[in-house]
Amino acid sequence: MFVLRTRIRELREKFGLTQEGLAKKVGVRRETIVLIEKGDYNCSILLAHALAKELKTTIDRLFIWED
Amino acid sequence: MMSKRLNLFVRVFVLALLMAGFSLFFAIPGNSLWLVASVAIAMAVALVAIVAASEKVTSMKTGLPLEDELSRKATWKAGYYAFLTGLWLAIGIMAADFFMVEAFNLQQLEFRYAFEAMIVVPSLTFVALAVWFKKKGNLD
Repeated sequence: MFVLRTRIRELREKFGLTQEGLAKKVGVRRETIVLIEKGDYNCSILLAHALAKELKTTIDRLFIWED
Repeated sequence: MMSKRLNLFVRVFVLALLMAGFSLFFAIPGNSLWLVASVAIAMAVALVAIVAASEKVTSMKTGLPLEDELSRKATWKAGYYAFLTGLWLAIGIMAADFFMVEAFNLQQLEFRYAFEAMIVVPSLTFVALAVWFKKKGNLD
């Protein structure tokens, strides 16, 4: 079974962004960022792209599928 | 600006009020029942409107959107289950009414009770599920 892990928190903290700050930049609610960070919500490709762009990385480096 | 804890408290209070109103509707005999339930439902609707308005103000102040892809998905899914609840409730009420009258020779269910149940139960289901789905996250 695959488990989704994200590097959002790590990169967000690296850029000194809060969850609210990142949420504002990508145009979602703060709760959505919290759930994505925890791996509890599989976001759309569009949102994944926006997150990767804000965190200056690529989607495949931001979201990691672990077996 | 309403704090999250207060917001949650108001939501729970609204649900409790709706349920109490619905219970009173069946518990108290006589014509006053319709009035009690109507007032309770009107109060609940007013409270839901206050919570929605406060969320809107918070959203405007923080600059964060009021809804996003997750909340939209959660709302649609809650609506789907609320619709199914209403459908099964209608079937249940029809079956119960049939058995009450035909098998047990009891009084037929009044239309207003059935109508009230058809409005309140799916609405409660929708509100509760929408909140739960938004908190839960994964909707697949």
